[in-house]
Amino acid sequence: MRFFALLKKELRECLPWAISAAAFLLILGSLRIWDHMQRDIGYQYRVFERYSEVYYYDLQTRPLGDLGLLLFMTAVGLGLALGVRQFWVADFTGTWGFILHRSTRRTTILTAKICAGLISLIVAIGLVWSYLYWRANLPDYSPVPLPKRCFIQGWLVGGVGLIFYLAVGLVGLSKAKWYTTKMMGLGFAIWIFVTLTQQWMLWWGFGTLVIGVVVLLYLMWEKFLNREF
Amino acid sequence: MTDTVLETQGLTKYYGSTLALDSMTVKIPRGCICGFVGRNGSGKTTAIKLLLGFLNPTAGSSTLLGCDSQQLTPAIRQRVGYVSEGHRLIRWMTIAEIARFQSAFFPGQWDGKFFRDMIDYFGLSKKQKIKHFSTGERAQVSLALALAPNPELLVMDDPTLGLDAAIRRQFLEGMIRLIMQQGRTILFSSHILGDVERVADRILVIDKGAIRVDCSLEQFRNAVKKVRFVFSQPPPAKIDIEGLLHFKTSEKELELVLVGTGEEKIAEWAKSAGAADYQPVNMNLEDQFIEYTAPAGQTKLFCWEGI
Repeated sequence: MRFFALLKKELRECLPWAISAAAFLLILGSLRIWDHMQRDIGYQYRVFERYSEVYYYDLQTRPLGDLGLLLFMTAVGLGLALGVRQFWVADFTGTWGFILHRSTRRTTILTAKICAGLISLIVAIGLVWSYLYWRANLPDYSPVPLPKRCFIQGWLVGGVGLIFYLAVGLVGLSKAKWYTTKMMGLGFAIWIFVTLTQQWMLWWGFGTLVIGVVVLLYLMWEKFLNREF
Repeated sequence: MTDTVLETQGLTKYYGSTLALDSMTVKIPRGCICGFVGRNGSGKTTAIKLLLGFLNPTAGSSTLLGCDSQQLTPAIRQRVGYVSEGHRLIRWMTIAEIARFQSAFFPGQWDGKFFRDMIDYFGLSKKQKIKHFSTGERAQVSLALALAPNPELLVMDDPTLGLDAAIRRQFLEGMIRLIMQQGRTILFSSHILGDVERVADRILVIDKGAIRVDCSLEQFRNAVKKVRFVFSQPPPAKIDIEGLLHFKTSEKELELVLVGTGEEKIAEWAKSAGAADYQPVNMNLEDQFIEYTAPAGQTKLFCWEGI
């Protein structure tokens, strides 16, 4: 009951950001797919036949076009916004005292925060991406079935949002000076992202993401439980 | 059940190299209404945050309801009400929402009727968001939220700060409602001495991080005195009387601020110093507090150069 009360509060605070990000991704993503549909599908088939296997993947995923960049920008943007909303705002408004003096443990408070952030990212980025993929994969939209790899890649790009969310949360919890170690969380997130872009194998990419999440979660946990408010 | 509700032992806090709280050692018994007074920046908020486990002490320890402040369990927090400085509540919530949120943490303890009654008494709309309330109205919501679970211990950090006289009176009446329930303990910090005088039965005076007074309000009221001596010639340059805090001289008058000096000692000193007459000066709690926490030595008036 206490956890759900906290989760509800956190979700309510994340809601405006999650809705904005989902709407942004959905509208621009749908426009991109619609734009692709305006082109001659028959012509695309002929182009596909002319090219060698090297270009197969590119052509196969063409209906999703440059959605990757849009997905990345939205995921990172939402991650940053949620991190600030959940871990910075209470410092500005002075509400940590009210939040922390609950008949529950700090771990429960942090778990509720992270669950709310995760749910928001999954719904606003993951589910919208899944919908866009499904829509672009319809026979009328795509000359050939889209590869599953592309779908998983989209989720991995969305996962970068989670990395940035945790990193910004960590920066918010850190009481160090901004020119010392305060921004290290964000630096780590950028490093994880760069490493992720270097991975060709999906499992390596997934592994990089998991390592990043585990490290950031551990640091956040430590910081939140021992921090002075 | 322990009879000491709140205890600190050499509680010390440094912020970097700045000493915020210096070896605070106090014991507050059950059923006590304790006014915690001090000037701005004297360490009241730091002490309260340490007691509630929001800050880690540099040295020493503190307990709330027998539990170490650094390890407060959910069960203990459930027995402690807290009103934060500035009444910082979640701004986007309405009164109804914040009451639902708060009640989830006090299962079987939350008195919804009491909360509604208090909100009605203060004349607040349950549908209005916290962000649309004034500081005074937020203070009322804050008090109702802290009192509705009927806590054994209520800790309030300068709850009447920034409130006008009417709202402050309502706020204090709300506090008195809790006080009327047996066995409830209240620790409230304030720099409005009138409020302390009205409700507290014990006083803690903190100055520059150090506890200067820890006694009953009555003892403090009796202990700090100001006496005006009249001389037929200039007053003596050297004043040697037990409990002297400050003195102020004019041509033929001498004003002494004394702590714990008995009437006999005063009469004796007046006689030995050759005073023609002496009279005690009436002081309220605020005067006593100001005199008590003023820097030691001769009082100097601030004088703007050129005036």
